[in-house]
Amino acid sequence: MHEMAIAESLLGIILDTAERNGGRAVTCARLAVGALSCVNVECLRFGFEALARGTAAETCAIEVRRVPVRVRCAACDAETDVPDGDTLVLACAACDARDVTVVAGRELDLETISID
Amino acid sequence: MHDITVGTPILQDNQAAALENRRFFRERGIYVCNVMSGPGAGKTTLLERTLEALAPKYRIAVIEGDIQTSADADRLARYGVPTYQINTGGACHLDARLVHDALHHLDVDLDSLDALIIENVGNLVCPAEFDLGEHDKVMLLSVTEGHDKPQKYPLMFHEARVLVVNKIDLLPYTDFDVDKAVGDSRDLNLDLDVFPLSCRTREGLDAWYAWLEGRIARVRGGRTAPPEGH
Repeated sequence: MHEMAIAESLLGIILDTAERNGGRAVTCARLAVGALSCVNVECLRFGFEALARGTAAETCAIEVRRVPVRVRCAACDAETDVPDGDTLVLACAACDARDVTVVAGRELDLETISID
Repeated sequence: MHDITVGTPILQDNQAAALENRRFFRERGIYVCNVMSGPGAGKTTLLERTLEALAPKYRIAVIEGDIQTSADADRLARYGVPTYQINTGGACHLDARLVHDALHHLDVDLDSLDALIIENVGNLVCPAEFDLGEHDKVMLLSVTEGHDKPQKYPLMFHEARVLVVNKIDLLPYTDFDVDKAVGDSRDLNLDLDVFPLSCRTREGLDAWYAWLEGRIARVRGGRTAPPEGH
């Protein structure tokens, strides 16, 4: 399960950021996770909690902002969100063209942390 | 309590390692593909056929990724190409650092290589998240896995440059709908090149070899002088 590898990277960035900013404890980490990204948030939280024990992030809550897939259309230049549904079809919501580029929805980012 | 803005990709370390790999390959004109699929789709057999055809003409090396055993690397070493087996010991995907370290274990002058084929761990989920520094991700889907896989595992099919539909000799014995699998894949990835083939009967392999040779030639043409003291 690759969520452990991601949790490990996440913890490293959180602890490094907290240390550089003089934080003694990290209370919250806010993530942006794109709809195309292959991350199970519950697995990530589980892995993170296990790894964070005994560190400055052991009481850190993980909050996730889900980012929908957004595409830019080569045909009509519109930027539109791809609707959430049972299946994913990367098409322009304005003109239905398929020649699109993904401009959002692939994120796996640490946006902010809260420290004491 | 206060908030600190970080604004960083969580996988920044892997991205940095992948960038370093990519630069290394570009400087030497080494074409690199990352072959991915679920377990048992036929990655290693596709590599066997590929090495049979291309190893006499090109200097190729192979990096194998598996949780355990050297079985796949042993199969491929018979084709006389430098091969290194990574055993991840539980990790379900390769990452850029593992590939970087493997390069130093390959018994070959890296500056002389035309191509590097990386066979990833058999998994339809995790490998897609980890850039290895390759030129192309090659997605392999066999007809016995079902035509619903592109919709169930969208990221892999979105990230791939190529879709190889393997085991087409078994189509009469399955309900696999090639048009649906390809159509659903193109809903996620319009420019996907598709190669239906059978590694067993060898039908369709020539088109795959031709595509690969084209990529090798194109990347070799972009070779810059390697740095001194590699």
